[in-house]
Amino acid sequence: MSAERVMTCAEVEGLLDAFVDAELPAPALLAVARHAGGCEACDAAVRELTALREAVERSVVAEAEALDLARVWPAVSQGVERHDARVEWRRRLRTVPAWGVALAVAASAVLWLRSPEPEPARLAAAPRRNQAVIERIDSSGHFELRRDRKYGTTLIMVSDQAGK
Amino acid sequence: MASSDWELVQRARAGDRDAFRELVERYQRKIAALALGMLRSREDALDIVQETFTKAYQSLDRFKGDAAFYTWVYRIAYNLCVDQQRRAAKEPLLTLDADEDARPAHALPADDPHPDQPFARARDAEIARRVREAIRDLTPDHRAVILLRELEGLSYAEISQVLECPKGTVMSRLHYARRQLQRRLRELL
Repeated sequence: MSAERVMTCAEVEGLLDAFVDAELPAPALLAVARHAGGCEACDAAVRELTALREAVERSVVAEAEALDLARVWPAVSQGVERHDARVEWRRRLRTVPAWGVALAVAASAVLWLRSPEPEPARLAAAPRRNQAVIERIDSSGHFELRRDRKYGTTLIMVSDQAGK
Repeated sequence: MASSDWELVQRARAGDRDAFRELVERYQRKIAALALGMLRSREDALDIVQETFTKAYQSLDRFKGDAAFYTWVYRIAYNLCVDQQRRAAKEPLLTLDADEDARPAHALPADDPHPDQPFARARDAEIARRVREAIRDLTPDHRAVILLRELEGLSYAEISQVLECPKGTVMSRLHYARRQLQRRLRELL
């Protein structure tokens, strides 16, 4: 668009927003300014748009200025720490070699399989009347212990010397 | 000399929390203004500011620096505002501070330009209230364009990056939003 050519009001109207926002290329900016300088209606339109922009800015900025932002960084900082901790944990996981993970899993499995079954809870600490307490079992082949893994019940099977 | 945003981003990536804090303090007020304009609730706006920077930190490695840091942060904040509006639309309950425009005029501006002129002050407060009301009645898309342009001073190209839409759409939305506001506020301006 030539800067020398005088623009019409209709042409200027379509460029007003970009004009007040300084988004026009220099020649067009100059052409609109030249037209508005000599046209009362377009000049008023430019002033009205400028006043609107200032009113919007004043109203919302003043409100935002009144906001107390003191709690923002402490809250963000907590999020930052949590994120860093997660990243560090993932990084450590990645640095453990695969054979190390396999070894750890195998060790856990062995420990779990070899761990004794939890003893059934005793009803009373001291033996009651008519209650036998087994203090030692001689595993010479005449006793057989069967444990119910699900309920924790222990069955002791006793046979005499003849194996009956 | 103050560090550039990009320098602070690089330092923050290397684990310098003070650098990230500087970025937060540099832009928190602007993000708050955008969130406040979009949501009209101080509490929600503060939540958005916190969430924006927390997300920004989490995604800092993905920030390539091909756009300005602030347009990237604005985009995060805008998306969070849109999510918040969607949630609020499903639960249309008023929060206690939903209508803060009902506050008395004397409580309004922090930097009162008319400390000794109660009438001028009341008039400014009334104008501010009407402007905020008119902005609130715009659609979220139009509201965002107005806020990013008038408050934040973003160029059309930057706004199109934040809103992820073509520059032409930014221009038409801005034109429509301004005409709407002018219609509502003509007698005040």
